[in-house]
Amino acid sequence: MCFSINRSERHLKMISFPRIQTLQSTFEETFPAMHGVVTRAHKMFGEPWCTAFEETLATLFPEDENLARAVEGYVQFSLDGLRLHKKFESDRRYIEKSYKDVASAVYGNREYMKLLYLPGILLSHFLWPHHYRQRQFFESAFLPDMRQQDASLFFDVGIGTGYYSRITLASLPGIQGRGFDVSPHSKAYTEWQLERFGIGKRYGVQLGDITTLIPPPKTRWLISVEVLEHLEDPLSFLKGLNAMLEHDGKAFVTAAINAPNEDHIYLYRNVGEVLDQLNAAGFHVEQFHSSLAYKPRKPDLPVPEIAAFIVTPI
Amino acid sequence: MSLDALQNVFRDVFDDEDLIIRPEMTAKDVPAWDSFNHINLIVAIEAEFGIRFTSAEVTGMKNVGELVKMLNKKECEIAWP
Repeated sequence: MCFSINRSERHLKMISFPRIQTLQSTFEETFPAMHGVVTRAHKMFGEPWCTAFEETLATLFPEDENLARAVEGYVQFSLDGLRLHKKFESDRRYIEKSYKDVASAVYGNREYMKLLYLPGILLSHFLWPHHYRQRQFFESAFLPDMRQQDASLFFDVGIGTGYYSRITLASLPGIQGRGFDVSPHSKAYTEWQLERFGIGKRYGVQLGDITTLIPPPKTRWLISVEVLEHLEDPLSFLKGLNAMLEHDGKAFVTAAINAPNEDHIYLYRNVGEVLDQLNAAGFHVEQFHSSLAYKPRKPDLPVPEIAAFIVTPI
Repeated sequence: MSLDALQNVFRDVFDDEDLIIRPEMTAKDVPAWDSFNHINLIVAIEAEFGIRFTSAEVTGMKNVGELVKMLNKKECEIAWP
């Protein structure tokens, strides 16, 4: 409602980043109530954020029409999440659903995945501070190890948009990657993204449930970002990840906490619950990072949080 | 459904027990009314009144008066004194 937008200040600072400027204008024209999300992230993370985000927007959404559709997807994704969170604040539980329900309603729903879910998640990696902080942790605490040890192969289990696979492939020019996912739409989106960045040839995607792969394929480096909360039995999945890791391997595993969403099934109430499962699955936690989505409005209200762990097999 | 219920939502979201809503009120009038709290406000109103706004409705309202008009179109029957 009648938001005051300081256009000149915003314009001067982002003049070198035309796609981010266009994104900002799209928010101002179409969803003025959300216009602050771009400038907020810009203020928090500065030039490195601008450079990374500009590259993503310029490569994946060079046409204004596609960018506008991605913004629409992001707005809907955000609104739906906040609506569920409002209910969660009083119920303190996720709406009960099975994996089969979610797979049908979300992962198998081409229109939902392509127009809303995947673009929404992709933009959230830059516009939601806690998501961007997770990327920063990945880049500062996991990628350097891979680089130092000349990693030649990595697995990404639960590829989603392909975002983390893309970051890894772009950061390590010699590495090959294998993605695993249950959704053909995630596979298509990831392949499209990597192709746009010119790094698709070093990557292949296998559809299916990794816990059914016998014997499991092995790697020294594994990524699995925000998969656990999407499962009925995350512990079995974690054991499956452990089985894919070489004895001297290392994995980057994350989870969403107190974060209701259309496809979130398993509720983690705190970082400790994720840690317990990692230990039970036979992992030693080397480092972890957690970040709240926003400052709590009131002391007793839950706030969505993400937690990222760098783990090794015990 | 009443104006009091709507006002209570505003007071809860913006954590201001003394806040009095009026038709011409906009985000500029409430210090805590930023983009994030606007969405929180809309979601809280939806939950309180059992209705749902479209994305365009969420971000297209010019002031509280227009919000009330929109709520009344959804049969919330809110009247200004």
